[in-house]
Formats: sequence, C-alpha cells, structure tokens
Amino acid sequence: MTTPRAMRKKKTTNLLTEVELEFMNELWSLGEGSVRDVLDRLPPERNLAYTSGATILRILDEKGFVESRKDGKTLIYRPLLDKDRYQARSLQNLSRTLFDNTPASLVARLVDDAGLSEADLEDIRALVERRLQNDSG
Amino acid sequence: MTAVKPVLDAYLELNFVLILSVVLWFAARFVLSRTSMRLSFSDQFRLLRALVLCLMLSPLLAFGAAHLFELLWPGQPMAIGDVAVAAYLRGEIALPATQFETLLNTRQRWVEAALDGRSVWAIAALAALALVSAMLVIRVIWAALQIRQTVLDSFLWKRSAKVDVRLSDHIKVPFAVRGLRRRHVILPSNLLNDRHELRFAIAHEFQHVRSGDVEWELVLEFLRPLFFWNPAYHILRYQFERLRELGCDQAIVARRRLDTVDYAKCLLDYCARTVSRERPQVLNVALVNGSKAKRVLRQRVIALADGPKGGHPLHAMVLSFSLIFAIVLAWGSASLRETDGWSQDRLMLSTVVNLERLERRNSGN
Repeated sequence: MTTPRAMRKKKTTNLLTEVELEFMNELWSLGEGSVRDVLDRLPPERNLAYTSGATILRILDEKGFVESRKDGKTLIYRPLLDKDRYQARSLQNLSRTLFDNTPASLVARLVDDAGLSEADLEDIRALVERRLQNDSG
Repeated sequence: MTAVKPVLDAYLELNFVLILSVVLWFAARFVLSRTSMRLSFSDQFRLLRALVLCLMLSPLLAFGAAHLFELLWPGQPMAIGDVAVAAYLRGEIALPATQFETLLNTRQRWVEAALDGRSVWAIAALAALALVSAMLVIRVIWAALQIRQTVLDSFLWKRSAKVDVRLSDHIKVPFAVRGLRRRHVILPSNLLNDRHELRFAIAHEFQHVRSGDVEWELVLEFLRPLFFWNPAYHILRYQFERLRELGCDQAIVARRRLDTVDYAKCLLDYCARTVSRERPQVLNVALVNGSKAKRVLRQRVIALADGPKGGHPLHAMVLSFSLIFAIVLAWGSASLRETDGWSQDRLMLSTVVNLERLERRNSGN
C-alpha cells in the first residue's frame, strides 16, 4: 500500500474537526513547523502515530488551512488562516447553528455564565464600549 | 400478453425457489448445529453464499436437471404437476376430476387473471407492487449518490492495487463500498486519534473487501426491488448479514491474532455511535450496521468469545453441503416448471374431466 504524495485539488471546508483544530493551534503557536514539531508539542498521553500526524497535516493542506514547502526531505507547514479569522468564523457558525443567528443571544449566554469573573466582565464592557466608539466615530 | 406470461412464470418460479432455499437453509442449520461447524461462522457464511449462488443459477440448474432426468428416466414425469396427474390417474388422489384440474391449474389461472386486465384487484395489486419496486429502485439510486458524495468529499489516505483507504469528516462508522472501478474503505477522520480502534476498523473493513462482501451486498440490494414482498428474501437477507458479520469477526481474530476482548469492546463502542443514522444503510458494509446492530451485536460478542480461535476451514463439509444445495434447488426448480399441457397423462385427465362434465349434464337433463 502506498501513500499518495501529491495533493489533490483543494476541498473547501469551513470548519476544522477536533483533532485538526488541535494541530492548527500548535501551528498558530509555532508559526510554522514540521510534523515532528507539531507532534512534540502535543501532550505525551496523546500517543499519536507519526503517520497519523502527517495525514492530519496533509488533510489540512488539502482543505486549504495550511500550505507546505519542502525543506530538504521534510515538509514544513504554515497556517494560511489567522487564528483570529478562524475564531470569528467559528463563532459565526455557532451563532447560526445554536443561537438562531442572533449573536446577542450568544453574548447573553456568555455573560450569564457563572464562570465569568468581575475582571472578565469588565474586559467585555471595555471591548463593547471601544467598539461602539469606533462605530460612532 | 403472450410475451409477458413466460417472464411472469419464471418470476413466480424464482419466488418459489427462494422459499425453498430458506427451508433448505434452516434444515442445513439444524444439521450443522450437530457438527463441528456449529460455531464456525466463516464456514457457515461460505455455505450460505453457495446457497444464494445456487438460487441465482437455479434457472440454469433446472435446465440441466430436466435434461439429465430425461436421459436417466425417459418418459417419466419430473414437474410436480405431472407427477400429481400421474398419481391421480393411478387412483392415488381421491378428488373429482374437475376439482383436481382446477387445483392443478391454479397458478395458470392466477397468471391469466393478472394479465387479462379484467380483475380490478389484480391490477391494483400489480400496480402496488410496481410502485413499491420503483420506490426501492429510487432508494438504491439515492443511496448510491449519497455514497458517491461521501467518497468525493473524503480524503485519500492510502492506495493499494485495488483499494483506496479514505478519511471522511462526515461519517461516524467505517464502511467499505465499491465504485465502478475501485473499492473504497471509508474511515471517520477522528479514528486517526486512536491507533487501537483504527487498526480494528481497517482489519474489519479489509476482511469484508477480501471476502467480496461489498459485491454480495450490491447483488442482494439489487434483488430487493424484485423480491421485497417475499418474506423468504428478508429471512435470507437477515441470515446473510448476520453470518457476514459473525464470519468476518472470526476471520479477523483468527488471521490477525487480535485480542478478542479488545475487539469486542471496539464493536460495542461503535454500536453506541450508530444511534444517528447519517450513513446510507444499503450498498455498503459497515463495522456495525445501524438498524440491526443491537440484534446482531450480542451474537457477535458471544461468537467471538465461544467461537474457534483459528483452525482449518472445513472445505469438505462446505463442498458436500453446497452440492446438496445445488441438487435440491435444481430438482426443486425443475419440478416447479410449467410443462406443456399435451402430455399423455394430461390428455387423459382432460378426457376424464370432459366425461365427468358430460355425465353431469346428462344427469341434469
């Protein structure tokens, strides 16, 4: 059995699976890296096979979330999507699918959450006020 | 109508042979339960496939059997109708001739009633059958399109000479399927997280591919629109799916020396995930099958625990039973055939019927 070397055409997907997100988080922290670099940053108990890691990064490449370049015999992967942009996309999806496309409901749920501290709420207030000032200015 | 009648006759005969196959299978199971094949589900599955093959080839087998019978016992009746007429003429059946002839021609009468278009009920029944058949054909096409989309949306992981292993974000249960040219093993992409489960899933689906189960699934599913109304089809189908999974599990454990308990745990885990039925239920062979998973799972776990660990396949026994199946179905199929109505015995019966009618008319006058 052989592993396909060349990537096929990009497949458009908006969201990452759980394990892909885990890998993207490591790549966002690294800036760029090889399969080994990403695997080394995962908790030891994950015990993920090298081939599995390579496959996950190849799929991310095929989905258009990362790009790869050759460095000697090693493939180096670099995120094509900023973490901020993915966070926004993910929240939009959450708002659409779970909060009837009303972001206010999403924020209300977040604010009602007992897990938020006073400082967190102050930060949120500051963010909202800054956004309102920017919009009116 | 003359062109349709032979087709309808052949179709009815095939349905009778299907019922005979089920009776034969349960008889074989009764015998097998007293032999060393009792818990060898791989061998039982091979036997069942031989039976289904004999069933599909039954028109050819019947043709061969009829010619062989004619060579060995020339002039002797083989069709069940002719045997009954001969027995009647010998005085072994105590019935008035007209009543016996009516009974004998029941099938012919029904076929003619269905085809002459005068009975509203017959037309309604035929229309309902055609409608359900059409719906089942649409269901198969729909499942094929869904599977094609799943394959197109998946990511090629590994490729061998005949099989592509692909990863999909949209499925929860691994399955094997075949396209026009290649076979595909589709795995949920989250399986990459767990080496253990990945190994079991690949072993299981590759065993299905190796045994040709994907092709058998296609054949049986394509037969559904023709035989959906016949309970024998559903019984045979259930037996087939049950033995396919039991045999596959046993073959993997024997071949790969996998730990039985770990493998059974993996099955239970997957069963829990098949509550949502996002995958097409036909045209593919999955690790666990949604609608029947619970029913078959208990048997699978027990079979894994109690079944033989390895050992040689029982070729001689499978071959002997397959030969018996072929002979019985060939004989059964040939016996059910409609023969021409102009044999010596049939002419004599017709004469007796006419005489009986004449006598009745004379006594009435």
